[in-house]
Amino acid sequence: MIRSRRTGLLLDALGLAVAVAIAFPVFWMASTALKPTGDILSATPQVLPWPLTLEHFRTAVTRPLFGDYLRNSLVVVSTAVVLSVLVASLAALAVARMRWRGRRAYVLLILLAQTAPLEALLIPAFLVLRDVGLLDRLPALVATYFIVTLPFTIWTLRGFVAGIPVELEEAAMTDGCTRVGAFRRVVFPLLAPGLVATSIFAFITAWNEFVFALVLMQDERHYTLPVWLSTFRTAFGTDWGGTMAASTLFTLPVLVFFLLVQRRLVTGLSAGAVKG
Amino acid sequence: MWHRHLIPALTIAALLLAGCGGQEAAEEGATTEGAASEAAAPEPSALTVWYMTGSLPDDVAADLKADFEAANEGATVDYQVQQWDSIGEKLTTALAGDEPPDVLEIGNTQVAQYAASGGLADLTASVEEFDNSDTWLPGLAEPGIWEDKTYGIPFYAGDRTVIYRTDIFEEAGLEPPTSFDELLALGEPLRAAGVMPMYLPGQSWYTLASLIWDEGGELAVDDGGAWTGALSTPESQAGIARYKEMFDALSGAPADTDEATPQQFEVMAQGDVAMMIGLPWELSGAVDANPELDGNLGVFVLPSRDAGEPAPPFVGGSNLSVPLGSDTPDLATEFIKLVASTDYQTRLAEAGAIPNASALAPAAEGNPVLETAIQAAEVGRATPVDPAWASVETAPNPLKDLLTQVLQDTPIPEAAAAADELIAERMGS
Amino acid sequence: MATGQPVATAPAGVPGPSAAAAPLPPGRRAGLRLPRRGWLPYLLVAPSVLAIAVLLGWPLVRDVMISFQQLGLAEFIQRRTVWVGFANYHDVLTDRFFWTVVARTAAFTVVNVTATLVIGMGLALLLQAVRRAVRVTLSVALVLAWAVPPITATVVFQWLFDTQFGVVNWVLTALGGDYADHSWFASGLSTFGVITLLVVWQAIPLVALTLYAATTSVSDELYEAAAIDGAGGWRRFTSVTWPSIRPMVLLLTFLSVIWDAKVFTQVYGIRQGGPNRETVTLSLYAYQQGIGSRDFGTAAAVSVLMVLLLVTVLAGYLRLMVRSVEEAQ
Repeated sequence: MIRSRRTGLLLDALGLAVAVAIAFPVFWMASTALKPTGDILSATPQVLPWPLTLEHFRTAVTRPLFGDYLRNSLVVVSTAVVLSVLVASLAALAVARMRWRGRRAYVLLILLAQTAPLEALLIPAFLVLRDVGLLDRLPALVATYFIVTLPFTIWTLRGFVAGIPVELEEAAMTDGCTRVGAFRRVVFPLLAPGLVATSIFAFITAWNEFVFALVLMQDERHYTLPVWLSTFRTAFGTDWGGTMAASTLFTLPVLVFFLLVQRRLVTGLSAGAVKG
Repeated sequence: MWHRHLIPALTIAALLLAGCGGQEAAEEGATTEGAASEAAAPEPSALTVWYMTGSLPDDVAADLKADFEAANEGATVDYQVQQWDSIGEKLTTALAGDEPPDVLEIGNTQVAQYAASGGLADLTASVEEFDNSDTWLPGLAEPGIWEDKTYGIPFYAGDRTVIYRTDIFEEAGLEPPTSFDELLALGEPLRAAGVMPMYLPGQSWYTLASLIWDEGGELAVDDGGAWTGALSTPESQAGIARYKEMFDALSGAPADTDEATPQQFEVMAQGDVAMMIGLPWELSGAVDANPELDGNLGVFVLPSRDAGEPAPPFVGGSNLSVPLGSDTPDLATEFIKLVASTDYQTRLAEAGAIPNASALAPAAEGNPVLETAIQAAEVGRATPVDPAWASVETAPNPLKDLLTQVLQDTPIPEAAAAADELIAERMGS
Repeated sequence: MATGQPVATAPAGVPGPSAAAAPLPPGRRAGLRLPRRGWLPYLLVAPSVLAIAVLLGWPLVRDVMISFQQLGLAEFIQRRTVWVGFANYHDVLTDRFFWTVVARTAAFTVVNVTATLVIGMGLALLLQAVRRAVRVTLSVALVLAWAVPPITATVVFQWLFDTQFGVVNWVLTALGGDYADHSWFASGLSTFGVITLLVVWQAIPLVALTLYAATTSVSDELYEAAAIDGAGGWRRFTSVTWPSIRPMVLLLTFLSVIWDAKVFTQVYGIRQGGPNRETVTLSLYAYQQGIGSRDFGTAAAVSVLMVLLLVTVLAGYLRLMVRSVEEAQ
């Protein structure tokens, strides 16, 4: 992207200002988590937490069953995300790269699947799972999160695959690659940003889901992290410090995941600049 | 090419299966009843007990478990502490599932709907075997009865009193009021002393209920099978008018918030508030948030119009029930007997809860906050005992909207009529 | 059904020169050794079709069935099936408040979607235009906003806009405005303002990052060529950037309409539909009439109506998108 020096600096400044504005509520959450309880609600808002306290974080992780919740969330969500991205990639390839009878109907199916009202399906899903005896089993949650994220992932990946000129693959193959090799060396790097965006979406969606996890699971040892988040609303008022500490911790895995993969998103087309 | 038809065929097959699943569920009928009646008490057996967070202090829960397991050989108690978030959905699906828990705690405003649903076991036959069952608090016992059968056993109660700053009162030379007018008269001197007389959020409908009941009005009445809102009666309107009077005279809180947003005890902990209407734990919460308040907080009952009497407080609390699908109903009943026993009720009182029977009131001796709460609870009332009442409380709550409207100067008759209509609608569906 | 023909005539690809590639060296098959080529696409989509049919279709069919039943707490727990025909639909469609809510939800959706897409697109372009360090910072800020649990975000916004203790009032008063104890939740419109801010804040990251990802697939050379041809910033946008992100914008609009029409947590969390039911949207209505009242038949009916409404509104979009798939090849 071409830019002059001066506009460049202005844009950079704007970018930073916007980043600060967007991150402010998140900052507020984290700073509340570090404030002593008495300072959380005050007539003169305290922007910076001082004195700092880690007691809320301590309370948050020493909650009973925290380890179970964390483990369940990690297992369920990563399985669902991996499944979703895998299945969606296959479908995206078929839709974007091949012509076949029924493709139109399939596309319509995917689009219509997006309109499905998730919240309203809580009771029907409960009934279905009860019929097949899968209530209170973690795979039921994996299946739920998988299907919730699948349509979006398919459609987005299709868009990305379609955006990659097939000549690039063909050129790679004339240069001696196998089809799979061409895919790996040419298509996959270009697909990476799309995979990143969709997997973050899938991760966040599944990671935050509360009601299905609460209702479809019965034994408390099968609950996930969002339920943990709700335990700070006790019979004796809500522990705001605890809630904010828990929420901050809750946000961290997503952040870590993003930091690990953001190079893919940000560098984009640098890999193997194939001249057309 | 047959594979062309594969996908449509699979889809149709799946949909057909869906239809079949529906039929099977329908044909099952009330098999849960059969399961419960033929359950012998197997040994060893696990008793799954669900109680709400905060209902049982940890040591009481531990002792209950130890005592129960000692008295019932082979039984083990598995506690599952429930959270408040989405508890309605949780209870509903638990009762409809294949393996419901054995003991449930249900709030007294919710128990009627579950009793009427056919999901709870009929405990009428065992009522006499519970300690103090003849002096159970009506506010707890009545909601547990549906069509003359008992489905819920009183667990514990709580009600609101006025929590006040004894040090501020002392400095201003004021005494706790004994009548409603005296309470209103506190506004001026307290403001002169530089504090907010009372932090009363506009949407405190529990307080509104107290005032309505004090005037002889009702929230809703059963008109021969159909419930209608009763807020438009002269008595109820008088109660609403008094609420507005109190708010205007005393409160510095916003007219459109309730007592949880922000938490009122946290506001009180800021230090410039002289009174608030709250539950005993809110008092300790305020002290936790601001240790300087320790020793400077006291309580008095919200006074009635008539001097020397308390206004009927809103009595909240919980009941204990046994799901119909429990595989150990007898054991479950035994457990509830233990929780409702004089011994354990006394322990709950020591922890600050109102015990389930008026005969146990002496257990509060030495705890002035609790004594005051119990004194008020004697004339306490609960919401209409009907399964449909729960949907009135589902947000948006018409009573809260009524209050905000009135406090923002909508004429009372108009606002009351609108609220009545909504109540009738919700209770009728 | 093609049978192992050279890749050059493969049907996939984007608009551009096709079938111009050199033939493969002898002995090189066009693909992995699979049974007849015709199998492949069906094999690839089979998992997703199966998943959607079973995991989505089955509960959906059940949902529609329930909408024709009276399924209250009693029927649900006792596992009774009581058919009542269109009674649930009748109750909902004859409720005047329902139609108010529909109109209100439509307006709310339009505002939210527009804001999300416009700002999101702006941010995507900004991400493209800034240097690497700033880009990473901005992306991290966006991901943080996206990752905060909606319920926590709702609480934080409530605090920020609190009447007595909120930062917003404090800052505005400090800047000289008369905002001490200003209630942001006194009117439906103002409350919606806060809700929109909250929803859009968490919706922008997906749009910004996905559109930015789409722009990365446009090679720099195209921009250079445009610059050489003398095209200014706006022209570069319309002729180079826009065509590559247009399909994604279309998709995101489609999805945003669906998601914003159905948003629940934030609307419920802020004021539970108040003041005076002025911020009750369709999802809150469904909740109050349905799950909240333990009337699952009505809840199902409302959800079916919602889907029908959405599909009707989006029919045009649906056609466009199905066609765009065809055109792409």
